[in-house]
Amino acid sequence: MKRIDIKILTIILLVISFTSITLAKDDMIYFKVDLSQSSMLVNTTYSDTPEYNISNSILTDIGYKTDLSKQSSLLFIYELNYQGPGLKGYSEEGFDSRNMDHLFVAKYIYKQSPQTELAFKTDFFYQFFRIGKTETWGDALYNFGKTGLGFSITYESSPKTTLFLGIDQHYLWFPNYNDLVREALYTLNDTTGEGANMNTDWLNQDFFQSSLRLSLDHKLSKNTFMSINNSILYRFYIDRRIDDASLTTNPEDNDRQYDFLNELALELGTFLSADWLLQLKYTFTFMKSNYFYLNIGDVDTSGPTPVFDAATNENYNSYHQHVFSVPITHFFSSRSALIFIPQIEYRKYIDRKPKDDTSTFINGEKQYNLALSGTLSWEFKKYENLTINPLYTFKWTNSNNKDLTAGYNYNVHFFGIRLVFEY
Amino acid sequence: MMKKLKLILLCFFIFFYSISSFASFTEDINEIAADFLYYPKMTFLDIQYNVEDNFPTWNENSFELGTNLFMNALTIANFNIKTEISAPDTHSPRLTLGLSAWYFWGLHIVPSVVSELSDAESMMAFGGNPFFTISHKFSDSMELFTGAKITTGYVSVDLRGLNSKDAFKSVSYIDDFYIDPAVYVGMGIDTGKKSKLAVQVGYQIIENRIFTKLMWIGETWDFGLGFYPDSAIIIHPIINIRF
Repeated sequence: MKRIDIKILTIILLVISFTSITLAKDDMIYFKVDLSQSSMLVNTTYSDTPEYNISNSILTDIGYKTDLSKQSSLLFIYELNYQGPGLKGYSEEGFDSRNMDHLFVAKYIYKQSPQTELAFKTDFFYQFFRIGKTETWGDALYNFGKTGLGFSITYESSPKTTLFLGIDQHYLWFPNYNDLVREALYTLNDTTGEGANMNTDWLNQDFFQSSLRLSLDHKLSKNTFMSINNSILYRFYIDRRIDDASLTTNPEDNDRQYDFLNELALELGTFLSADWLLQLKYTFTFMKSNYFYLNIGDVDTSGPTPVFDAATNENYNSYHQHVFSVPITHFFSSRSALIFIPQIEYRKYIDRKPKDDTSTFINGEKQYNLALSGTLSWEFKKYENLTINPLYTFKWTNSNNKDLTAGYNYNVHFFGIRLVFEY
Repeated sequence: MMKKLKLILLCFFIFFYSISSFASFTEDINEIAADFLYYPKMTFLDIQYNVEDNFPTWNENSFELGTNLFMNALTIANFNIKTEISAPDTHSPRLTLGLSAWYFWGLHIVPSVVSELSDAESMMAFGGNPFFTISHKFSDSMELFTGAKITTGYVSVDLRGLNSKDAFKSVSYIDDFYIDPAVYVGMGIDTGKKSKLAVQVGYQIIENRIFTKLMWIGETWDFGLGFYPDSAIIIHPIINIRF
């Protein structure tokens, strides 16, 4: 099914690409290839010798917009995004994982008045995700698809102020996902005799996702601007039931899993002079989930053995996170700028206990992750359609979770060069 | 000031990548050999990407014959022909048709060079690739293009006759014919009267694989890099000569 979807998508892309070549006079196309090549020197928790990795990322966007009338237009966007190993999240897992995404968006835009714009969209997204190099793209466990509808309204209340409201509804599915350990646990621990006939839908990861985004962009003065952006997201798992401290019966009577996520992003920017731009950015994220962590103590000939501790297992994925950065940009000219971005990221789990270096939970503590980073980036426009961007990032992470397999304590030097071809 | 900064950055990157490339060379060779034995299609596609030149016919010639010298040096004989079947004007795009093909003749001398493989019964790989490309100028100095190709080829390795060394034992017989269509898009930017800087991104439909090329294209010579994320070596040098 998924392979067919991707092929159909590719054919659609080709047709759109060809159509765009012979576009009408007022139609617009957008094209972008963002090619990054990077090197990383990683000091890991498990080795005294720094590890060296090279990686690349390739992002391609193709957009086509055609006017249906003076007030309405249609927009099609296709994006192919390959993200190789790199600086992702708090864990060292990002130094091996890679993903390749296909995104197709069709949007109808209606200009109701000079101030108000309505948009309706449908999209299709498919991600191939691999935790390392050895999996094949089509068979990876965490591949997923996403499709849905969305509506948004943009209102320019004054020349200085723009308001935005967006509502999206999506369905996400994981075609290759399975959880054999969990299945085995229920089967082996079941005392009702139904274990062998357990409905594996209760382990299914597929869910519906609803999201609401509100934003405000405001120009405070000639040189100062601000934005406030809040996104609320709710995931409703269709079949998946959470686990609990008892594995003696099927999980059908347990609660369905849900995830709730709220992200508030604030930004304030000011031009200190014609050459200097200072920005302050802060993002607060709150995640609440009823996901119950199954701690597998041992796997031997009699099967996997769960270790229960309600205080450890409940609320395992719930956290709050704060990201604060202060980008400082110096413009050498209209085609060249040097950007320095110091950043602090801090995440604190509500109930999750950290582990020590023997993978044992530490009582009396809650896990935190801290990351400090500094990025120096130079962007210069070599040609009208080409921007070159060498950059260097140093990132240092620290956590009270010392589990070697999690890899939360490392530092990395990241060197990259980006070439952005854009029209 | 700016020139000095650019020079320092350039030196820095060359130095950094040279060290890393040299340090991992032996590992890479071993990884390529392992990748080839366990998943020959990936290496097959790498060769194909390096050999093919499916950029539009940007020079004034309506017919071009070229070859990748770097691949020739690695004992992979190859050629690429392309012809412009529709010249561009204000209303219609440029249409280029072409074919690239290669034969890995070096595999025939491997048994005489590597003693462990002296009893190999068959080692052969070749491929071909018809393509068409449509391009259109969107500004005075920039052209976009898109196209499609069908990658075909054959790989045969028969090591069953070997009194086998462990490394080759598990994969002793490969006899695969490949056919895999792909689509691609790209951009060419004029850097001089007769030279361009071009980028191409493609997607191999059956293999689900992305590939990218960054090329400086001159009147006769092309120099570039291929970026193939799933390969043992993710950056490949490309040196083409065209007539």
